Amino acid sequence: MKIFFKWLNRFVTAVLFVLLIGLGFLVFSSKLSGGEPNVFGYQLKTVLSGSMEPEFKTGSVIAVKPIDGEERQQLKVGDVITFMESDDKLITHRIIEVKETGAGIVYTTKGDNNNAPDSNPVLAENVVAVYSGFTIPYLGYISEFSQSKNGIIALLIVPGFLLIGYSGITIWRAFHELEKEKKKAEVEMPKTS
Amino acid sequence: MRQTRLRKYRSQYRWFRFVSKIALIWYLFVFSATYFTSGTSADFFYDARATSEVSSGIWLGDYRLKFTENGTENVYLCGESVEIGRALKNVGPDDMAEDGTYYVYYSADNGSPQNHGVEVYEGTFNALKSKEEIRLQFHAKNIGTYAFHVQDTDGDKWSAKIHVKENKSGNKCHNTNMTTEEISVENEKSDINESEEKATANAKKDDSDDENAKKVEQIEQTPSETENETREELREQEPTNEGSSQGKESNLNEEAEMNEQNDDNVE
Repeated sequence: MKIFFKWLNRFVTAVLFVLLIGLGFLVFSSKLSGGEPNVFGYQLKTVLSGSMEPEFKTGSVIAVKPIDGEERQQLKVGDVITFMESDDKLITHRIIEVKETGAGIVYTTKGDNNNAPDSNPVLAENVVAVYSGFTIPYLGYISEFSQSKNGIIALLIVPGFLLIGYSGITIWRAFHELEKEKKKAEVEMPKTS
Repeated sequence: MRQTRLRKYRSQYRWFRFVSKIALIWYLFVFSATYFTSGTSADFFYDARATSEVSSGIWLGDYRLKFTENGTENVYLCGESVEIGRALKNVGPDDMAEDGTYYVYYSADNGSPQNHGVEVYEGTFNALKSKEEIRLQFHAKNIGTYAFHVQDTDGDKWSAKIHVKENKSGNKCHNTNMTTEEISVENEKSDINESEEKATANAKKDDSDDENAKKVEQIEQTPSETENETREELREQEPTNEGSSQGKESNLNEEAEMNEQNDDNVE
């Protein structure tokens, strides 16, 4: 049991170090490059609705590769793209038609689970990224929840208080142990003297 | 002594350190999950299409109906009813959008059904394409004047009158597309032909008595030749009947009579 705990403790320590170093590197590199945080050149997007099921489920996190310039003009039918529907809204849907117009290339998009194409065609300039095929299911639920008020309370504040409480108890026990030893020493001192 | 105490505390509070590490990993995980991800709506919507019709007006098209037959028609009532009709044509550039309705107006006297008549029938006809023509029909049972009436984008359209008359003097029972004047002239012609036919028939009777003896021999030899000769003679005698269908009918009747006479002579 002791050996198991010893190895578990080492494993947890290793994970902690990897996380700390990795996150530190990623945050630092993201801040240096500017723009949206990315992981090794991929942006992680939380899927908030089921329009693209079964390609990716609601609540999953998908990795998309940001594109710009020429790449935006060379997308083809079947590609899953993330585009700006408005200034503060990103949508990830599949291209079902590519049209060349006077204003440039325009993509008609549709969610796999939708029964009709999107009402507005997407200008190539508004395409932000292309879906890479990498998905982590359910992680998006945690991400979304952690950004909500209840999520902050449940995932950050409550564990924090628990940790503080546990550390308080540990400290109190430590002091108790110290006092105990002190009294024991005082009792032993007259005897020796 | 100090090292021993440190080792002692380290082993005693290892759980605390372990829990702290787990908590730190948890916080790092939550931080990374929120920091590195952003939402993409992947808009989910359902598009329901309802098919409905909103009528903002009916475009009938520029169709014009016209009764193409002019002039009053005289029809003689044979039996219980006689069929009367008028040709109706769509002379407009557009097809009719829907089926049309026609009315038959009747006036007992010779007055205008348009002004004094009553509606006796309402019928429908298929939508006419541009330049298409059909015939509206009605079975008239009463003596009097009839007229057909339709409506188009221009308004009311009336056909020429149709007089349904009693067939007193054995006139033709089928319809005639003639004006009243033409009908009266034709009737006069037929009267003259009838008197002429009677006169020529009497004259022929006298002549035939003299020639009968000669004809008996000829008929016995070649009856077909005799018949042909008789026909030629009749044609020479009655030049005025040519061109009239009624006249031709009376010739044939006389031929039959002549043949009977010849048969009698042969016997």
